[in-house]
Amino acid sequence: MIEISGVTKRYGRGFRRRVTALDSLDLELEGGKTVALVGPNGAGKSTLFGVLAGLVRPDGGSVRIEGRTPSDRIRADGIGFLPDRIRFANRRPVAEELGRLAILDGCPVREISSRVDHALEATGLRERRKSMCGSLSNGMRQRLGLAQLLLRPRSVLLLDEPMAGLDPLWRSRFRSLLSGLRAADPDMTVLISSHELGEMARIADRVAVIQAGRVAGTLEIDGDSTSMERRVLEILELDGVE
Amino acid sequence: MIRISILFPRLVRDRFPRAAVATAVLLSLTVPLLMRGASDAAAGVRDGISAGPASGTATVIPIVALLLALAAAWLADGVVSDLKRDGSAPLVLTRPVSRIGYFTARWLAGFVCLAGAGLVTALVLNGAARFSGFVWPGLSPVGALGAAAASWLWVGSAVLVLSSLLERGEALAGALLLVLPFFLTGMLAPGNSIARVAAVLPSRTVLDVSRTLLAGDPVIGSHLGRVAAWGAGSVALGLFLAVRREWSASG
Repeated sequence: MIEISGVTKRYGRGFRRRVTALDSLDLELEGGKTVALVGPNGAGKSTLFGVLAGLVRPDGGSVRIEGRTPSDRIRADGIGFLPDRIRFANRRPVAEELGRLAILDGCPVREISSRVDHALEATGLRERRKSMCGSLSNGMRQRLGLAQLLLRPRSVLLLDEPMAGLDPLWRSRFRSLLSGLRAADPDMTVLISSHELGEMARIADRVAVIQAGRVAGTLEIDGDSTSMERRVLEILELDGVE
Repeated sequence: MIRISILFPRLVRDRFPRAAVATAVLLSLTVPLLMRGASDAAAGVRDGISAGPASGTATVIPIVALLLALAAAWLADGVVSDLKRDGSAPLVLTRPVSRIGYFTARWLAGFVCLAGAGLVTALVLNGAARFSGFVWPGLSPVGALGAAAASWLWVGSAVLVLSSLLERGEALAGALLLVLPFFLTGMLAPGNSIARVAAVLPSRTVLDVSRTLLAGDPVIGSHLGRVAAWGAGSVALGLFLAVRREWSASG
């Protein structure tokens, strides 16, 4: 479960230059649910992911992930995080990069190679295990980002635009991968952001519409992507987005 | 801690290319100097003057001490800012590992490489002196490790602070400014006003400690204490800043 209460984050210095990325944002994510975060560019989605991942310090409010602050939760068990525009060390082989992340995940040394192989197999990158990360295309890099999530089981997944750059085949496979992870751990909490409302209707249980740093509305998914898209747009229009 | 100790050899390996370049620069600038000293000494012996050991010590050791400080700045740059540059911070820092432990390991990995560069330089210079028949007490290999430690404690830790506060290019520029006093205090007369200002930093002390250690002589305790105090303070500040630093949530 993730509880976000009154979280505010401003960037820049001085009164005139301060940009409010999150404005007293409240949101609650139940365990075992997948919540889609949708909203226009600059709404504060990535900043919210940064706060939840312990990378960005909020100016106010509180965040609790399974009852702990993000940094305490990360230190104890880590968080599965796929950032927007993911990057890896360019001059490092794919398998070596995953091996390092597996070490940091606390995988037993004997199992690292097999876990890396499994993650590469699941994301169709087995043939590229010796390639340098810098030589991967955008889509492959995104798949490598998915692979690093598969190195160990996780109870919290934060996925910021996970399908950006994926072709239709890999979008479908991504949905299968995510279903598999959720089936393996029914209590897993997933927060996922995307501009693809149709995809979100297939994946998520609930949608939170974020606009100008706060939650403009939430809605339950009823499986009809067209009606969901219309309702999301209604919420945004009611909130003054042109 | 176990995870970081398993990762440590890989962190050292990341710094190998820079350490190799640093060693090459150290050797390319000092071996010819030593060889020239050897030929000058041989000519002096022919003229009835025995100046070998003194000229070797006077020319090579200060250069090695200065270059070790420069190499320390270069190796320490990126301890923190490389994570930002290659975009790996969001993936690394969301894993169940202590941030302070991780950054300490990265910092220590740089020291291992600098110590390696210092040791190889000492061994190659001693070998070159022996090969050329130059009578010279040589560089103490243990002293080279000590000189690397002194340089790292001061320059490496100060660059850690810069690296935590600034982006990569800015950190490197700051590091070069930091090393500048080494040149000022090492090359200017002690009475010079710039040298006096530069002497506020412990650069001169580090340089003296490095030279003494490289020559295999005992070091004054208060000098060691000053270097250790500056180093400990800078490392603590650098690690604090690194742990508190904000990172972009994008790659």
